Amino acid sequence: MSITQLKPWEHAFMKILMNVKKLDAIIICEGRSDVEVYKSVLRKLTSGVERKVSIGFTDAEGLENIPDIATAIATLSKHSRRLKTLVIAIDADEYKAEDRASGLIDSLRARGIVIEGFEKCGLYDQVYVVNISSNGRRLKVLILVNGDFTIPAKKHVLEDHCVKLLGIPVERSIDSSKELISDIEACIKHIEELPGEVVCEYFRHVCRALEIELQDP
Amino acid sequence: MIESLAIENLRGIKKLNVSGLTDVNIFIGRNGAGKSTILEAIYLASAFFSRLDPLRDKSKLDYVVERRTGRGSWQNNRDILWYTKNTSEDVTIALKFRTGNTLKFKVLYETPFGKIPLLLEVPEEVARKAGILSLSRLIYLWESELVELIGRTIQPSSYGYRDYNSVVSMLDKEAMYLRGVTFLDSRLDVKSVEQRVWRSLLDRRLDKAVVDLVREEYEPGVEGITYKPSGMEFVLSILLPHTSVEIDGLGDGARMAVFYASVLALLSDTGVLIEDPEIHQHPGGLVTLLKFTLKMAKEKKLQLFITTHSLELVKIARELTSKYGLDLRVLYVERDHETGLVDVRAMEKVDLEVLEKLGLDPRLLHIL
Repeated sequence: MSITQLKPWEHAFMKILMNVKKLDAIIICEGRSDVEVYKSVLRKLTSGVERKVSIGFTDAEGLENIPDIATAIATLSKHSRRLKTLVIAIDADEYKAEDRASGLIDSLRARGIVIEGFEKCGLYDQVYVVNISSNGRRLKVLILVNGDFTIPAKKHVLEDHCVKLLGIPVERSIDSSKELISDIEACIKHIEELPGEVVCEYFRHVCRALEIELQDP
Repeated sequence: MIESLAIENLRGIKKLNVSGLTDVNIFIGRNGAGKSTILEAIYLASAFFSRLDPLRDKSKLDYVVERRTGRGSWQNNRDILWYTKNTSEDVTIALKFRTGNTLKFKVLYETPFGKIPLLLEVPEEVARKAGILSLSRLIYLWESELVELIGRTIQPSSYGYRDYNSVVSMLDKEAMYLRGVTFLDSRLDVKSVEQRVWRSLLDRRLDKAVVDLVREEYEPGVEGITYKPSGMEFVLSILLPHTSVEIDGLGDGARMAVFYASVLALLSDTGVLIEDPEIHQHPGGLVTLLKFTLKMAKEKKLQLFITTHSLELVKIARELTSKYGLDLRVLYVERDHETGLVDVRAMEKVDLEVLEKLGLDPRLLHIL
């Protein structure tokens, strides 16, 4: 699996010119630290996988809200010809996972994107598969909603998974797990050290998304 | 104004359709995508109404061959214009204008010597109004008559000069637009400007605008542009406080800017085809040149078709077109090298902004 970081532009530009012929999937995370966590999870989970998949990572900094992310999806679906999958990884924040996903779907519809199918992925509340159609072009969108709802936090974010992974106790109600994680590097280091199946227990939604992506040729 | 364009069998393009064209149209894409061919298609179509390129004092048909091969002429080398050199297929170029008329041109490989190898299909609505509409055959304008095409042979039609005049008068606006179409590329030379442009420029004192452009970016001390004796001829030179410099002695960026500005200042109500204007230009020079170009486009009602590899040009154009009240369309061109089918995707302002926020360079969309 090859990973291309699309930001900052200066680095990505040279890498793409020199090495990248195509991207099979793009993963848009909420922020830069989310990108790093996702990259390390994916590296861990695909270390033995033979299939060649080329994935581009970027973050949604600069895209302020769900409608902006929907605009980004609309743009990518309009201009891509070979991109197979778009993965949007968003925090649940103070919403339920399904409501977050539905909010994004509604924004896509408002932009004239035809939603051909929208379903929760089996038992995983936090993974949704959406098939969209725009300008005669179809694209699979995976919506991953970050957050561990067993943590007593007002807002649920990607850091919830790191808190669980690191075994950080949460003894009182908190605003969000961001208060408990001062340095995301510790989480990334743990991901790198632990076996893949253990990482999967804490990042189930990412594992499921990867299964979906790798199953589809 | 041309609203849409369709091309078949021209150079590497088997088929191409692009619609939604507007005041300023910028084509981006990889080498070999077909960007310059789009410009050449419009230029070729314009040859129907005006065979001679007044800027270069040569036949447009010859120039469209020569600019690719560096030598040769329509007579000897025109097969390079045909897709896969299959000259049994006609090259067709269709231009839909804002007037509602679509002008479809056929470029024939073989025509009687000295005759124009371009036919213009009379648009259906025009044929109806002229009373020459037929369901069984298409009528074409060719040279000064209305003809039919039987197989690949041009045959006289039963319509006379009065019908011809009636048709031509209904295509007057489109003809006027196409007659003025001008191609600006890096092969433009100083003699073209000296001998064919500068006199008209001086007659209207439009030289002042060109001097201002040179002063803004290239030579802050420039006082004017004049003709200077040089051997048996007179050459254009810029006047500096303590010397004068021949235009062809200027830096490449300054020289191209003078050429382009000189030509643009004289045009109106037509299309301008500009190939890679960023060549030899510092970003500052590009801003100055584009400001001038867009100002002329606004004042003189010029429709611009620009090819570029420069993201700076796209960004500068985005800023400046809104300042000048011009609509901009950025179009990404991608060709399938096996089939020759060309996909042209319009990039709206929001698309460019989103791609930038995601870290994706719009010139590298081929990876998607």
